Amino acid sequence: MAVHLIPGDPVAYILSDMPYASPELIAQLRAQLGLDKPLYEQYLSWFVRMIEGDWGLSFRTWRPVIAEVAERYPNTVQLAVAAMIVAVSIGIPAGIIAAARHNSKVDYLCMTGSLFGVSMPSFWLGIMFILIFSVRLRMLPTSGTGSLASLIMPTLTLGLIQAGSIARITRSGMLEVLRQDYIRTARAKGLTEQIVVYRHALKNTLIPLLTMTGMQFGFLLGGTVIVETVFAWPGIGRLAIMAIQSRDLPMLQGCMLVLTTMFVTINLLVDVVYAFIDPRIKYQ
Amino acid sequence: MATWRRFKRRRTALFGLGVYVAILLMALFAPYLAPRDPATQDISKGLQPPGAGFLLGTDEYGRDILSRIIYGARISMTIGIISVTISAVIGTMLGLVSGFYGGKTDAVIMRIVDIMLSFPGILLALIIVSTMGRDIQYVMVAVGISGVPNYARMVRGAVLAVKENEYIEAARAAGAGNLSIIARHVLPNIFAIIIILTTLSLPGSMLSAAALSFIGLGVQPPTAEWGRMLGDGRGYIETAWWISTFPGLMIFVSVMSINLFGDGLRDALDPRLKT
Repeated sequence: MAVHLIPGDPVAYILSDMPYASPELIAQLRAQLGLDKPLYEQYLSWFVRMIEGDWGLSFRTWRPVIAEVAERYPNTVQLAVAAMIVAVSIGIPAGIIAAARHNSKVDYLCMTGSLFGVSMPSFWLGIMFILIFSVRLRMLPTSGTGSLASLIMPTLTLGLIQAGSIARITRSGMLEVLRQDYIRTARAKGLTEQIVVYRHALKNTLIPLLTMTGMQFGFLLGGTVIVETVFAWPGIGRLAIMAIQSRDLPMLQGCMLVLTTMFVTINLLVDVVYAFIDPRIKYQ
Repeated sequence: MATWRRFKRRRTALFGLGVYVAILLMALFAPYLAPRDPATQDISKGLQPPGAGFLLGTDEYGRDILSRIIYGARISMTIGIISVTISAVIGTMLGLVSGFYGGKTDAVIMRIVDIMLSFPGILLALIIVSTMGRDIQYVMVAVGISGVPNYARMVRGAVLAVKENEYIEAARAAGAGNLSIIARHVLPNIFAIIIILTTLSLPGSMLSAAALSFIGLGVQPPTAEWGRMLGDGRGYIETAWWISTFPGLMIFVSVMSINLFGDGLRDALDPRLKT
C-alpha cells in the first residue's frame, strides 16, 4: 500500500536503474503490474492477494516473495527475542539499582553506561565487535547463523544498545515513583526494609514500563534491519534492505508487511497484558 | 553533597555542548583544518595504516581519512540540523493547530500522528528514502518527516496546557484574534519544550541519517560522510580497520555530546523530565 502512497510512478521507480526503457516495455510492465487499472481496484486486488498468500514474485530472485519471507522470518524473530531478553535483563535491573542508589557512584556508572549505549550507532558497535572478536581474537564467526556463537554478537549489538535505552527509562520512572507520597508513608511507617519499599515502588514502575516495552520493541525491530545487514544475518531486515537496493518492489512490500504486523502484534499483546495486570494491582 | 552533584552535572552538560560546538567549528573551518583534499585519490597510497603521513590512514582509494572525517563533519552536522529543523517546524505547526483548534482537526491530525508513531522510525525513514531517491536531500527529508510525530504529540500537549491559562482568556476578552494569541502567548510559552525536544531528537536523527548512509541510501560518492565511510570500510575490516573505526567514533562522539548537553538541559529546565 505504501507503494501507492509514493509520490511518483512505481514503474518509473522500478525502471530507474535502466535508462533504456522503451515505451513498449514501460506499457508492458505497467499492464503486468496492473497499474493501468484504477487505484482502488489495484489496492483491492493487492489486498486480496496478500490475504490469499500470493505476495508476488521477487524481482531479484524470481522466487515467490512469501517463500523468501517465510524462510527468513524465524531468524529475525530469533534475533529480536534474544536481543530483547538481553536488553531487559540488563536494562531493568540497572535502571532500578541506579534509581535506588540515586546520585551514588553506582548511579553514575549506570547512567554513563546507558548514555554510551544510547549514543552508539548500532552498525559501528557491530563492526567493532566483529573487529575485536572475529578478526583480532578469532573467537566468533563474522556472519551467518546456525550456531550459538554466531548469535552472540548480533544479539549483544542490538541488546546492549537497547539496554541503555531501557535503563534510562526505568531509572526515570523509578525516580518518579520514589518521589511519591505513598513511598514516604511506607518509609515513615517504618516498613522493615528498603526491600518493602522496593516492592511498592517496583510494582508501580513496572506497569508503565510494560507499555514502554511495546515501543521499545518497535525500535528493536528497526534496529534488526541494520544489525542484520552488518552481520549478514539472513532475516527479514536484511531482506528488506536488499529489496531496497535492488528495487525489488514486491519483496519490499512483503517485508514491510511482515515487520509492521510483528510490531502491531507486539503492541496488541502488551495492551492485553496491561489490561490483565492492572485490575489485579488495584485489588491489592 | 547534592549541590556538588548538580554542579558536576552542569559541567558535564557544558562539556557536551563544548564538544558539539567544537565539531561544528571543525565542520565550518574544514578547508583550513584538513591536511589534504578529501576527494583526491592516490591508489598507490591506498590502505595505509594510521601513521606519520596520514594521521588516520587512507582508504582503498588513497584518500586521507582524517581529511574526510573533517569534511564529513560538514555533511553529517548539516543533515542532523536540517532534519531536526524539518521535524520541529512541521511537528510544531501540526501540534499547534491540533492543540489550539481542537475538535475534528485535532482528532484527524492525531490519528495520522499515531499511525506514524506506530512505525519504527528507521523503517519510516527507509521507506521514504527508498522511494524518493538516494541523496542527501532525501535523507534529510526522510529523517525529518520520521521525527514529526514526536514533536506534534509533545507540542500539542504543551499547547493544551497553555490553553488552560487565564491570560489566554484575558487576551481573547481584549479582542485578540486567534493568530495573535498563538503568536504572542502560546508560542513563547512552549518555546522551552521545543528547545528540549530538539536536543532530544537531534541524536536520534543523526543516528538515523548515518544508518541510512551506511546502507548506501544517503550521500553518494565521492562525498565524505561518516555513515557512508563506515559502510564503505566494511569490506576492509580485516585489512584496514581504520576506515570504519574512526568515522564511527566521530558519530559516537558527536551524538554523545548532544545527549550530555540535552540531559543537562532537561535537568536544569524541568526536573520532572529527569532521566
